[in-house]
Amino acid sequence: MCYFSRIWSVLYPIFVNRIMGRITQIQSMSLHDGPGIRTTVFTKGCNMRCAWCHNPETWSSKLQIQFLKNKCIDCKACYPSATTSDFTPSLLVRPNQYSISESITIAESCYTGALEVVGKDVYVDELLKTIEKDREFFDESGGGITISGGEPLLQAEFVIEVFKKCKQKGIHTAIESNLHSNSEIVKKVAEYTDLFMVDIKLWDSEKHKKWTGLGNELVLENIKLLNVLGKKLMIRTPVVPGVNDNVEELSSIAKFVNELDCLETYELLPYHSLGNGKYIALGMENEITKFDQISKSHFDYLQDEMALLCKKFKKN
Amino acid sequence: MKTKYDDRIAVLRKKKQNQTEDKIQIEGLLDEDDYGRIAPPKEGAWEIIPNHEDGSFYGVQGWTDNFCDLMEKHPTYVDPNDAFAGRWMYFMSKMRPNLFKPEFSYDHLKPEIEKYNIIDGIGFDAHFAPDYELGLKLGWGGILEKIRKYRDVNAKDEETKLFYDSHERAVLSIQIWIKNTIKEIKRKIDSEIDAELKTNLVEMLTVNENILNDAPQSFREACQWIIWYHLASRTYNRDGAGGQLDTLLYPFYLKDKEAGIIDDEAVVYQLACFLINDPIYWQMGGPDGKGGDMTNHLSYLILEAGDKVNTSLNLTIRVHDQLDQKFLKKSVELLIKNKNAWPRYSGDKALVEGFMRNGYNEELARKRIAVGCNWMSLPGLEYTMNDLVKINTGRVFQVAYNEVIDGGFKEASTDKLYAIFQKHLVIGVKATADCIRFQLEQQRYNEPELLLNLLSYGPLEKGLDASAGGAAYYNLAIDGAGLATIADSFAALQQRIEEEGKITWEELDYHLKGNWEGTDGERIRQLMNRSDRYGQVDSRGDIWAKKISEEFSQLVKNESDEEKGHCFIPGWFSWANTVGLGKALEATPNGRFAKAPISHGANPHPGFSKDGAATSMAKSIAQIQPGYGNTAPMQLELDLSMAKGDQVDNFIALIKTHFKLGGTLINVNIVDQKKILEAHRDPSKYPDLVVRITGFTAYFAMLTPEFRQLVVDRILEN
Repeated sequence: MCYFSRIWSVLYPIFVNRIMGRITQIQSMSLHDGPGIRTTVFTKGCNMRCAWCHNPETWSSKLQIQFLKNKCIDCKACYPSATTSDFTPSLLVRPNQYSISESITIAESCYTGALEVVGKDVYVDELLKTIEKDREFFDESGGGITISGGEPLLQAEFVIEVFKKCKQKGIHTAIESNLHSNSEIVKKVAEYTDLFMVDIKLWDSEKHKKWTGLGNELVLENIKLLNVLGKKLMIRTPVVPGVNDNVEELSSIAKFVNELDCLETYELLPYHSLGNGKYIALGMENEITKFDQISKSHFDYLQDEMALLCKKFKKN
Repeated sequence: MKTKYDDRIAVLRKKKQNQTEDKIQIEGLLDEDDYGRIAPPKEGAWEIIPNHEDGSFYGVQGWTDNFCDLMEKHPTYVDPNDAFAGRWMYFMSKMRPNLFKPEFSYDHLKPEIEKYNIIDGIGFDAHFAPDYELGLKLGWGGILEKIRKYRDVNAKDEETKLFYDSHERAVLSIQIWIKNTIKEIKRKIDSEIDAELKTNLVEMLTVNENILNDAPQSFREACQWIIWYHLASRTYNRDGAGGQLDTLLYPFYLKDKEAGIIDDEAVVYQLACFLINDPIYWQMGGPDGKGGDMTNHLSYLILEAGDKVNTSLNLTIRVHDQLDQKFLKKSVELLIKNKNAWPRYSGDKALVEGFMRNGYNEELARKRIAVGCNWMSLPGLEYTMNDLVKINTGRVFQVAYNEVIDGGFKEASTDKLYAIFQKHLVIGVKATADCIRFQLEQQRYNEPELLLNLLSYGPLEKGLDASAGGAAYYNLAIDGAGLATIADSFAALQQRIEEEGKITWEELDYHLKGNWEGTDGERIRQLMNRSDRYGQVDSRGDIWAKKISEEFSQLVKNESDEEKGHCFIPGWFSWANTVGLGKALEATPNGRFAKAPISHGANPHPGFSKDGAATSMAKSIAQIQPGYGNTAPMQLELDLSMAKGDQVDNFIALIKTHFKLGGTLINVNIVDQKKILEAHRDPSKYPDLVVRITGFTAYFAMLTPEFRQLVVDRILEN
């Protein structure tokens, strides 16, 4: 081995280890993001804007501040560092009021958790250490890591590096993606991914665009691509009242997924409004779209109908 | 599957619910196990017969006189829907105004007991396990013969003669209780108009007549015999230890099945009645002496019976490598389906390996089973004082902290604090062990173990009480309480003062003394409370917890004395004392308010990490195990998302992994948060809601508001 190759072999892993991802949260003992006991990593930044999204903190790829009013004890410890006299903590979450660096400095003076920075940058190896804490539970349960979002494929390099390392260690890898991405990226990520969990939110592309901001052509193409590549697929549809809670809409999706050889399961997920508090904490009240809750009887009816159409339908 | 017995079980369940409500109305709330006890009739209530001027009774004569008097007068209990007769009503040991004979002074121990808030165990009773197999082999007649035989051999002096005479009187008085019950069954037969219930009563009569003197022969007789023994033993001094139920009853089951006199439906009905009688701690599954699995068909039937009654139950599954996986799965399915906090799980690997570290062989270690709240015992062989003796390590910390502060703020450091903490822990643990030694010297004269002696190997043979040389082994339990409270306190001091410099010792001390008063106090409290806490596997809190646990364990072990046969065994367990021990403690640097509860057993404080993952808690608790065969249990509070059928395998993985990593015992609550909040507001709405408080389960409606709040907080914050 020549001198430069030797140097490179030493520097390469260091270089690679410096790859960083921006995430909002790491959730251990996650039970609903793939098989077994899993650690789910939520990436920050998304290319869709689903009107029913309950994770608005993952939309922007930038760091944000959230203000949880119920945790504020009105100690005013955040006040002195503010530059205006009419300061209140909730101002930090409004765009253009303070720069993010100013906001972060102010938030750091909060000891109660009322003001918090949303988003943090993690190195791959750092993340791996956290993931490996639950290694024994993965092994016993057939679990592993799931990268969710936001949209993980917006940070494809990071995802690939994390998954590559996980595969080297024998850890099962899954991704929750909207698949609205370049097919080359999808192919690269697929090399290290055991399971893809993908939403088909609407069959009609125009409606898809209306409710999510993007059409679904690329999503469907990539699903077909993954099927050709032999990748395991779990397809879900979030059922949102007034958007797609009818048999006509859902049956088109069910028929499509029925043709996929690699389909593991197809399931419906009921809409819930639990994310509304997050919008308020982030100063995104204007982004809230109100939907009715779906009734259990209607949801069960839709599930029964889909079960007739799709042989791998999984009831919730 | 519905059987012809289901209606009877439904009646018994309803009656049990009414009895619990009556007990609350008559006796008030109680932060304890249900014990299966019912309130005695209001009229003609039995009262103790004092033999001391302080109004209490002591010694073998006092206990025998009281017990025999009660047995002869004890109300009878017969329900035509029940397979078995008998309920216990009087908490004899609790009816004494004073627990320990004043003449046996332990004033010399009191300063340390007070200083370190030690639950000394002096005068406390039972908490070791009888061997029911011995009783089933001998029957009451056989036990009487044994007493008389050894009296002839050993009674060379008055004291020994009194020992045997008292045991003989105790057994004869139990027989009187049974005879009185037999009369009541006959009365009930005469008045019963339902043909099936009449038949049931006739069978009940035959069973009781058969076992009045002779050893039980049939399955139903064996169950009824066990019931009589534990009703008597409960009455005597609350003894609640069970045994390995599935193997204990299996020979009777097989014999009756082979003879064609019983079917599985009847067995399940009888087991349901057996379980509703008393939530005794029974183990199932687990290894035999050679490591083979003991699960049998009856193990499944016991689960089925538990499912039918679904009351407060303390069934424990012993998990080991060879355990029938179908059985484990069935048990988890029921835990998830019923959400009634049973069964619980005991980890064989760490318990056996740990117990062997005391010098015992593997075969004996496997026979040490989970038969109490947090505790293990060798049935019939050990005197242990399990779950009776605790040291509040929070108080040890506080004494050390005050000493550091008295030395000046400038000199204060976590290193110094830990060194002083170690010094006081040495004194505290020794004082705790001294309390046990005192008990071993005096308890026979204070409260002899008349009932447990009967089913132990040694007391009758030697003429010595189990507490005083009669037992084969003295494996003496000392539990530490408050681990997370002090580990988090050390971690918070290290992080916030020494590493981050966010606060000084002086500022912190000001807020501690003021109990975090004012907005600034609350702000600093939150800072300390949000430090790097125990429960995250590798946090500062975890590092401190490991260090403290190792230190504590070694100190407890060091108290052992081979010559005297005293083997001290450490554990981490607070039982329901989290509230009481907390009241004795000022504000602590982990952000805990003065007088607030200390941490629960080996658990981290609720809210230990942002994601609150049970996996990291499971790993953290596995890391701090004392490692000598006693437990440091994990209390799991799970929400309804875990309570779905598709989560059974994940839950099994969690159990198995915790045990592989060194865990010893898992207690579980799966609770609907909405339901528990409603029940907290109005307990009468959910009279049958059962929660696992610590090792024991309790009816939520029976708990005091303070304790209900504690349980609610624990569930909501996890």
